Amino acid sequence: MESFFKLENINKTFGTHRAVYDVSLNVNKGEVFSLLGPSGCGKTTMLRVAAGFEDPESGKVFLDGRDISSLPPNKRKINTVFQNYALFPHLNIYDNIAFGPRIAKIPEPEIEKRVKNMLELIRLEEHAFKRPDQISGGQKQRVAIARALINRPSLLLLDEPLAALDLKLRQHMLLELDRIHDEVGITFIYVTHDQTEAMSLSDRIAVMNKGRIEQIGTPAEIYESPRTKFVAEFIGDTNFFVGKVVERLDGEYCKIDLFGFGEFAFFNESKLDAGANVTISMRPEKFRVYMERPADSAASGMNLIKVKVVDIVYQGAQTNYWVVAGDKRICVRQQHSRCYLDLRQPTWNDEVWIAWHKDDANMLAGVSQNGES
Amino acid sequence: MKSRFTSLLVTLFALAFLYIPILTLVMQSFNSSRFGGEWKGFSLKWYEALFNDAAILDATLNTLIIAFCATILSTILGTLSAWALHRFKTKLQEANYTLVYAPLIMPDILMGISLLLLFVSMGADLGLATVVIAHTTFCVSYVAFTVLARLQDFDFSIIQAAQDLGAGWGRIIRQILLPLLWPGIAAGAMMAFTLSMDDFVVTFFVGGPGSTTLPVKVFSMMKHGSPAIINALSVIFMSLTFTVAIAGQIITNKKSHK
Repeated sequence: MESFFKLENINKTFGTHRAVYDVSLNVNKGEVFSLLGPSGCGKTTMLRVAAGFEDPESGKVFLDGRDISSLPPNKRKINTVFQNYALFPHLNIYDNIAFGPRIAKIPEPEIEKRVKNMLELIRLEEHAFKRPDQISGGQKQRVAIARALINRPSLLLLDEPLAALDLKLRQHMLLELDRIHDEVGITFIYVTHDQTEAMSLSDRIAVMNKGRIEQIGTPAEIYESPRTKFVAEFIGDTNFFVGKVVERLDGEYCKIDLFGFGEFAFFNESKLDAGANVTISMRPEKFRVYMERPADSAASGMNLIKVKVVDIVYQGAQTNYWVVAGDKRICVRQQHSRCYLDLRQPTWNDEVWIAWHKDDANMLAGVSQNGES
Repeated sequence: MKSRFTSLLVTLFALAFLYIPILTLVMQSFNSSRFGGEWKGFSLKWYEALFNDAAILDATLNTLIIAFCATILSTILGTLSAWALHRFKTKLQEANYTLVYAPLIMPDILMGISLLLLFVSMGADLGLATVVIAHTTFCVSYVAFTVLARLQDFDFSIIQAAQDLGAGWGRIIRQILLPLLWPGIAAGAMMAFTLSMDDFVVTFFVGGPGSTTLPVKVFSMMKHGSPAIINALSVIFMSLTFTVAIAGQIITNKKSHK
């Protein structure tokens, strides 16, 4: 697919702070593309460059094949949904939404039709003549979305649109956003620091850190196969292990000496040779917990270690066990597909076995050479 | 109940303290006695005399001309300086702030003398123009600080939102900034108008022949004219000031409650 929106080698510095380092990205037509990262990672700067509110020191912005780098915000076919909604407080909902089309000098009957459609889309027909301070936060956010969408932009930018809402409302608005995206089919760029939002909504995610993109991929790729330590840690929970490759095994596997645990087989994702240092990321839910040593673990491609339970956090749907092996704490997560009370469960100081499949661990790029933990 | 009674009493006392002198003035303006004091019957003769006095009518006209000009000038300058004080961040801003603030705390007499010295050393003819300039000078500060207060709770992201939706600066000023800042600007203008109309000290210094304003006229009438006419004049003058001040209040309240 050819890229619809493109940022090319963007650099931006504020005073002495370098906000964005030579970042490029391609967004496909119709997709929801998220920029995900902690605050200060440069994601909002990227969005403001896309909207035209910031001039990058270098780099180009392309929309639908056209270089729009030098166009001011009011000349770009891009609209933004601001974090604090930024509704016009002196105009009612109707006039807020009609603001853009009126500038575009669209005839008033046509505007009326479009505003009505938008009000239907955001399900606020009965609030058209209220002022922004008479409606709730979630409703304001929907008005902000309608006000942007009515201009039929090629690209809609959303800057942490749900950050100001409480949890329940946020979950509801996520579904609303998804529905609106399905209905209008416009390309979305969604900026957030919330991994759940990004995972639920996006077709692809770019994880940003310190002004650089660490990884771009689908939500599943980002979660299941993080390329860097930062991505593995920022999205979900994980355990890191360091070790050294002992030898390459048949097929695509290798044997790694995990320091302090012994030697295990792993999928050799980075095609490393013997002697290479590696860092491995293991998600807590990839482990299975056994009260007794399971019999056929080796045969079914599992790696196995004996550990002691030191902490138990029961969360209803799942339990997090903190286990130790030597001086290494490992977080292990068990889903309760059976009733928790009916079965014998590991308790404090129990010696249990944890096992993982040799395909389920993740070799991290970039940090494998220095062997830090 | 007791405390309510006390507070009522205190309120009444305070109101009496503030308004009895004014009420006396209003009453005396309708007293047919020449020197006040004793009530000698209701009469409108002082108002009649007032409206037949060409010098007073001249002074009224001067006062209004000066107040209008000073209000318009100081509203424009004050709004712009509030914008500059709020929007630009430089090391000079603190000094700028003090400069705009200074006229608020500077004694009128200092202001009057210094402006007089300036005008004289420039060789300017004292008259309407110098009074307008002098009034504008102190009114700017009042306008600037009322508008600045409004700007401080102004959400600037809506300007970006307007740009994002395709608006240029002309439209942003007309459809976003002015409607939202209007209550502050209007309140500042009303304040400027009343201040200019009331001012005696500065006007006394920088005015010249032909630029006598009502306050200055009243002062000279106290010495040479009829105090009873002054009463009538003061009542009219006061009603005008009150009207403008109350109108200003209503506009600000209505807008800030939305």
